[in-house]
Amino acid sequence: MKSASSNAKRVWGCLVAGVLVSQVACLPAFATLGEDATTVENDRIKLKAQVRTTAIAGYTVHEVQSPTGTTVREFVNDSGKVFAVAWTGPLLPDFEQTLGKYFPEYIANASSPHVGRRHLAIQGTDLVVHSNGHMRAFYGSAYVPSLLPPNFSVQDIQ
Amino acid sequence: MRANLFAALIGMLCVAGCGGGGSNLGGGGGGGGTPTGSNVQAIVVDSGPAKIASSNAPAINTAFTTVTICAPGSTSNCQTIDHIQVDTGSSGLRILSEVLTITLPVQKDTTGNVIAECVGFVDGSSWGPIRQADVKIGGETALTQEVQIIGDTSYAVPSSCKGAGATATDPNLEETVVAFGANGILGVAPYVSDCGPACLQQNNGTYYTCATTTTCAVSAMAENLQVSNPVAAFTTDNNGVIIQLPSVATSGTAAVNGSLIFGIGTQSNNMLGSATVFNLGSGGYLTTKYKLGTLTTSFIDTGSNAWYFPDSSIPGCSTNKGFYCPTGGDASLQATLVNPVNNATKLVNFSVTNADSLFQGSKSVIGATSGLAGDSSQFATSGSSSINGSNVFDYGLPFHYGKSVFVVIEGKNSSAGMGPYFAF
Repeated sequence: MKSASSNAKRVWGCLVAGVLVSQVACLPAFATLGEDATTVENDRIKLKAQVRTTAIAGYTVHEVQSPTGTTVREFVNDSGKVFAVAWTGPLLPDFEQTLGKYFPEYIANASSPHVGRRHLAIQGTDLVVHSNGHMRAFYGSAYVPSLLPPNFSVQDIQ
Repeated sequence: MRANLFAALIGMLCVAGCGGGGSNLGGGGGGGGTPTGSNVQAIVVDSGPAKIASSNAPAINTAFTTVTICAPGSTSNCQTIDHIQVDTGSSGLRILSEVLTITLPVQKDTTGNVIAECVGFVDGSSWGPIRQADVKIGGETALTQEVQIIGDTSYAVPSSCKGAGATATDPNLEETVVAFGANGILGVAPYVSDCGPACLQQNNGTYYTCATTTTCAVSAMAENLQVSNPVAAFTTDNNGVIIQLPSVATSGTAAVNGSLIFGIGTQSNNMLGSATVFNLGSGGYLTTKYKLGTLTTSFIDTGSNAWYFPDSSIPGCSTNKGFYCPTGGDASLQATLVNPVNNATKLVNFSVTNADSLFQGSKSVIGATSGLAGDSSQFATSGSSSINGSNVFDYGLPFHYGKSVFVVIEGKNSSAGMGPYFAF
């Protein structure tokens, strides 16, 4: 956990420092897991969201905050594909939009009989998800293992 | 059966927590014995309503109570419903249409359209219109409350309401008692409305208004029209609740009885006493120090049926995936809960038991165990990378065994100041 924390700090430290940060509603935008990050400005518009972008060696992080207060961070590899998403905020993200072609897999794996209502863990070949929280406070992430950049630490996905 | 059940769960829900002695109920309201009074309602932790208890997924570590609802203003058009889950992680009353036998009027917005909701929980979403009811719990009454009727087919599910929780009849939603896991849910979180300010925005994905029975569209919703914690609307004892449960062994038991006590510091049976207050920080979270890590998205929640936290040093189960299976006996652990506002701390001792062993073989049904714990984050490895990105420590129902846990609602006062906060 300690390294996870420090990694996260590194990522967002860069962001705050303004390294290749483009503020608010400019270039790249919201994207869907597994899809190109370059053709999705319309998604940002649909969500009426604000976007900040940070470039890190080997990948780029787009932070999209919707008016509801939920933030989605999208991790884009050097091939321009969204390989991971992470969310935090008072509402769950629109999973159909966020997970795209992986949404059916999410639904299928999340639908087994269950006794609790607060945790969801999916570990598939194509999709890994962990989702926690309760109303007004949700937190989670999803990624596609095959799209991870070389030597990328998934601890950075948060 | 239980092992099969858990195998099907893809790993969720867990906990362990071995509280102290049964007579030490913390705070000032303890002292042993069953509290009495008009502000006390019994709760039970068992395998759930018959349909669930006899299913391949009986409830475990789920607190239930009984609620009476009446058509507004009526004392005869009423229904008493058992096995309503008590949830400090959400706000408001929701009833499964499947068990509802009385007719309740719909709630309309200011333009006359019926309000409906696509309520999202982490593991499943549920659709249903909002109807009005007087809500009676123990000796307390909340008049004309907005109550969601889940699975009420009077208003067609919009295509945009999708989520986990598939059933054979609805591939996207939890609309039945079996799929939902209870006859209903009573949200007594430290908030008034369920969605709060987020649903003042148009694109909230949660609230809808229906011009006709087949045309429901997502809509901004004022907080006073949102499904809300009925406790805040009681005429007395309305600043929060206490969840009081006896100690439970890690080896488990079929059922335990406890109390849901209304009001904090309003009666002799609900004094805060020496309980430590944990104000909610930004985002509604608390902080936990566990081993070498600091987990900034921690929360206390009766709606979670286990302790969930990341610890790669505890072996995961082979059968009950997602749960911990320590070897060589129960793992004795401790976490330090931190108030993110004033940095006050309190140590929490708990034990994690081997879930595969617990549910192995023909042992009788276990409705409650303090030893069940699961991993909030770990998914083995991918290539050279370990996967451990979670900042979550979830103090689920097992945390509550052997304690009085106080929940004070936002905007309500108490001897320890304004809510929202938890205390124990």
